[in-house]
Amino acid sequence: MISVLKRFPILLTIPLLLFFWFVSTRYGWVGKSLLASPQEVWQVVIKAFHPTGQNEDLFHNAQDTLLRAFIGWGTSLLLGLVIGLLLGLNQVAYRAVEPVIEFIRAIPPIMAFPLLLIAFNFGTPAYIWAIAFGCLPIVILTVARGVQSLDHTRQELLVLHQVAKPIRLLASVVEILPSTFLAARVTFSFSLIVALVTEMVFTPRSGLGLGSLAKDSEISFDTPTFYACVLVLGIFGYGVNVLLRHAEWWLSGENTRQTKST
Amino acid sequence: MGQVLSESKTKHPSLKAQAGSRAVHLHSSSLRAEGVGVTYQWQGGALEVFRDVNLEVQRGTTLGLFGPNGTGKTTLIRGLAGLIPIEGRVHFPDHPAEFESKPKISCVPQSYSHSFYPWASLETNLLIHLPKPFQNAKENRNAIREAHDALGLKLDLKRRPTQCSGGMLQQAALIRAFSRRPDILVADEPFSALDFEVAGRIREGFTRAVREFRICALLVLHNIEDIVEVCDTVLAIPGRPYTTNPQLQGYALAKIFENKVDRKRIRKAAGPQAVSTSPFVEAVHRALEARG
Repeated sequence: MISVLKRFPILLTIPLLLFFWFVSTRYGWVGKSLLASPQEVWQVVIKAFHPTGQNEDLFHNAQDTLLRAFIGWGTSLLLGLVIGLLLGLNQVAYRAVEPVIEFIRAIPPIMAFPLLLIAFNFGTPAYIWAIAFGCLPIVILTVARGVQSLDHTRQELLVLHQVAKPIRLLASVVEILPSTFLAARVTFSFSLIVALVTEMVFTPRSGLGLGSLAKDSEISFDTPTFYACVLVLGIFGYGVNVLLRHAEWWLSGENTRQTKST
Repeated sequence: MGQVLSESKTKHPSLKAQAGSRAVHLHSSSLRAEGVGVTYQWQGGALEVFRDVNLEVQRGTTLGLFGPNGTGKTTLIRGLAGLIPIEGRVHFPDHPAEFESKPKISCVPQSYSHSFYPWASLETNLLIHLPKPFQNAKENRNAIREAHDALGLKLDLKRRPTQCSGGMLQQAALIRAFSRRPDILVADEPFSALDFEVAGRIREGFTRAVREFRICALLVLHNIEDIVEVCDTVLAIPGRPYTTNPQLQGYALAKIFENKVDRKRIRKAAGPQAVSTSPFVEAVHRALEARG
C-alpha cells in the first residue's frame, strides 16, 4: 500500500481534498451559495455523462468548449511549429520578428475578440481564432528558442559525418520536441482559459459553451452546475497534460532514466 | 608513419581548402597540412592559436597531440577536420586531381556524451551517422558490429544513452567513428572515461583498427600511457601561438617520439608496469628544452 502511495502520491491528495471539501460543506464552513457539496456536483456530472442521464446541457456545452479549445490549440501548434522552426533557423528573421511577437503576447486575447466578432460575428471561428491568437506567440517563441538551443556537438557531428539533410532535419525536429511539448502543455491550459473567458464575456444568444453555462449557473446560484463545469474542465485539462508529459518523457529518454535507477 | 614537415612545396590547387571554408577536400594516402593557422577574432581583440603549422599523417598511423590545457590542441584537430575555418591548406598530395570526392571524416568529440539522442538506442544513434541508414540497415549493422569487435568491446548497443555510463558512451562514440570506415579520424581524449581494463583492450583494438582500416588518426591525449601505447608520432604543444616554422616567432611544436621503435624504447625503459613514469616525461622535457 505504502509503495503504491509512494509511486502515485496523487492517490493520497485527491481523497484528502475531497474530504476537506465534504467537511467544509457538511458543517457549513462555506455557504451553500458559494460552494456546492461534492455529492451534488457529482450528481450533475453523472447526469450529464451517463448514457441515461438527463442533464444534456453540461454534456453539450462541455463538448462545444473542448472542441473549440482543441481546434484553436491544434491550429496554434501547427502554425507555431512551422513559424518557430523557420525563425529559429534564421537569427536575423528572429531578431526582426521577436519584439512584435512579444508585443502580441502581452495583449490578452480577449482584447482582440471584438475584432474577431466583426470578422466572424458570434460564429465558432471567432472563438477558435481567439484561442489560436492567444497560444500562437507562446508556441512560436518556445519552438524558436528550442531550435536555437539545439546541441552544437550533435549538429556539428551530423554535418561532419555527411548525414543526409532530411535525416538531419528529422533529428533536429525530434530534438526540439521536448520544448514543443512544453509549449503544448502550457498552451493547452491557456486555450481552456481563453475558451472559457471568451464564452463568459461574449456569450452568443444560443448560449453554448461551458463559459456561458458557468456564468448562467453562477448568476442563478446553481452552484452544483457551476462546480461541475469547473470539475469537467479541470479533469480534461489534467488528462491532456498527463498524456503530453508522458510523450515528452518518452521522447527525452526520461522513462529509461527511471528504469536505470530502479 | 607521420612526420612534421617544416617546409612543404607541394601544392594542389584543386584540393585546396579555402581559408574560411568548412570544406576540406582530401583523399588517398596521407593527410597533409600546409601552413595552417587559426586566429580567433572578436570585437576589440584577436587570439592567435597557431600559425604556419605543417604536418603529415600517413594512412594506418596515429598522430598524438599532447600539451597543457588551452594551448589549442583541440582547435588544431577541429581545423584539420574542417569544423572551423582555417588558413592554409589541408590535403592528400598523392591523390589524383580529377577525383574530387570528399574524404570520410569521423570524429570523437570531447563532449561525446552530448552527441547521442536520448530517445533512440545506441545502435540507432550509430546508424544515423552511416550512409543511407534505413536502406542499408543490414550492411550498416554489420559495419557497426565489425567496428565493435575490432575495438575488442562488449557493449550492449540496445541500451538507450540514458541507461549508459560516461565510459559506455565513449565506447559507443569510438564504435560510431570506426563503423564509418573513415579516411581521417579525429578524436579528442577518446580514452578519458574508460576504466583500466577496457582502456587496455581498446587501445590495442584502436591501434589494430587504424592499421587495418588504413585510417589517418589524429588524437588529443593527456594520459601518457595512452600516448605511448597508441601513437606512432607525438607532438607536444608547449604554448600559444605555436608553429612549425622556425623563422616565425612563437612556440615550436616539439616531437616527443616519431615511430614504433622510439615507442618501444620508451616502453621498455619504463617497464611493463610503469609506462606512465619518467622516460616519457623526461623525453617531453628534453624535447621542450631543445626547442630553446
